[in-house]
Amino acid sequence: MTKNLMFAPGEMATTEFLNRMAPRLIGTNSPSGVATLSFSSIPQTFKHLLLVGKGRVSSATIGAGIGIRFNTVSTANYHDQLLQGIVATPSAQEALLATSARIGFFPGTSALSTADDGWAYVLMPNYAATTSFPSYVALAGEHYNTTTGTGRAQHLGGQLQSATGAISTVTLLTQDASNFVADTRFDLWGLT
Amino acid sequence: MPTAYPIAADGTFVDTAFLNALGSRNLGVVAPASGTTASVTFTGPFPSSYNHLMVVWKARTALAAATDFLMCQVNNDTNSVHYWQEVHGTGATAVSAEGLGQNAWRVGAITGASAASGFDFGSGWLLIPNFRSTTLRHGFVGSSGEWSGTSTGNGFHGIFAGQIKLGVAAAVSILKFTGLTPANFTAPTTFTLYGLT
Amino acid sequence: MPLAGWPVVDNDIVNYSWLNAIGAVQLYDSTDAGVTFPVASIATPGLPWPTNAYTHLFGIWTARTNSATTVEFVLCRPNGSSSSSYNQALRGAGATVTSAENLASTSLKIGLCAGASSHNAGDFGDGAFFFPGAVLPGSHFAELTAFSFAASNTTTGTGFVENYSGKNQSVGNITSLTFLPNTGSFVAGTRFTVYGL
Repeated sequence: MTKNLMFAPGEMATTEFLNRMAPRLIGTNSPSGVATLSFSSIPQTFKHLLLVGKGRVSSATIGAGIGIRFNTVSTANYHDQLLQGIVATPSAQEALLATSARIGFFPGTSALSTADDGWAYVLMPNYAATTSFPSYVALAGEHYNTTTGTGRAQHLGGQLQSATGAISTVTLLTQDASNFVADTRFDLWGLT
Repeated sequence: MPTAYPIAADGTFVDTAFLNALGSRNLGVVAPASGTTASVTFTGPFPSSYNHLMVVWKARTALAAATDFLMCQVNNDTNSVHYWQEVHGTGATAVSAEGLGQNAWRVGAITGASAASGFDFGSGWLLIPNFRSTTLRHGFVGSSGEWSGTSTGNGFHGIFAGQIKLGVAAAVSILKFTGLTPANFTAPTTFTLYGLT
Repeated sequence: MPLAGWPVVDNDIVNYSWLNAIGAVQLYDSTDAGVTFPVASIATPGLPWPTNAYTHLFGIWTARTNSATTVEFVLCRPNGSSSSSYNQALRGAGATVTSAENLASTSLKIGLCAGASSHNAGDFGDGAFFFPGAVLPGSHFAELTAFSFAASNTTTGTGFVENYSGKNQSVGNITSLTFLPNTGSFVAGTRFTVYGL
């Protein structure tokens, strides 16, 4: 009997169908009291990566940018671009030749409460490619208080521009060297 | 023959535990018939095997207007605890707006009965990370757009984010979607809820 | 023999309720499909799947072109339609926010990628898109929400985040997607993956 992906009642389908179910959880990281966390030895068998993060930082400020690094590269070779809205003001920012690229913003201890946090949804398409710069695109948000101007909606993107190559390690860090605090969580999935 | 138990290739039975181990799972679809309801609600508790929720939607209401906003209320909380921020473009104009202490999040843009065509809808998606947390307040991020005609200024695209503030942090167990000015949804409005592991 | 409504996997049994419970299934991947480069467009075949198994489409892509430009638009034609596409864009580049629309175009814009004149061959563009309600039992236009990032250099104003909503008034249910650059052809390393939700 022919095996293919098209099926109607009674027709054959293949285990290839099962292998197309996406996404697959690669790992979870719940950092607390550390400024960085990494997903290492990322399997190179998926097509794309999806990362979702949510949390807070220990900065004695309204918060800090959350950075991403690829393959443990920490040199000043990251370029990012963001578009955001805060209150009634759309704005855009770039960071050139930085030591990490931004994926979002997490509140610090000046937030209204310890329950206030930020979050980010990050995609790394075709991460196993060897001929392109490691890169990502993300949407993020945070709201650190209840007063005007304390929330933001962001679209971010960035890349490492010093070397092409597959992404085998993803590192998340606080851009002000403060620590992630308890209840922060990052999940990484592979998309088949 | 089992009615809900697929069999794996090696001949063993697999069951809902297997389904729950998938990276994502369709947790429900609501597609109301026209004129029957002004709200779409997903009621949990949502499976504890999932950590994040995602909603993908396409919607239009019978509101006597070309456009409206889609709102999402969490856990039936009608208090002033929903805070949101969005940035959008319409025509050649970029706009940003916030909502403080409201009874629902603004999560997207939809069309109403006065849109140029009966086929014009609004659509979008939103992600609620770590929805089971009882220590961190719940937030969302997403994007949405709508076209209410074919003329300049008839399009909208925005990025939306928001958080529940004040009150006691609790797991997300109810998501209720309505128009900003509630009016019955028009078929084929569809909302689909997914769980992510 | 399997009962009616019970597709078979390698002689095992899977039923439709299980299929409908899956959150996301990869429908098409251009690398798996053996697309060779340079290529002027990438078209999915008729997207497989019983129509009761998915409602929305989600896609992820990375691309570069051989256009004599630093960046190039990435376009999409649902069902191969080359007319009646409308886009609303919101963009950030450097410190500049812009909003723009396209009316009655030949294609939907879904993002921006690097072209042959970017500063390094490793520059690509990345993006994601949703077609919420890609398959619905009623009258609707195909609708899009998308976002992307591309950088063409290491200098100011060369990073671009793009957001789009769009519709195509010639398409209701989506049965195929065609991706193409605004000019030139896609080059090796380009990849489009489409999922049914």
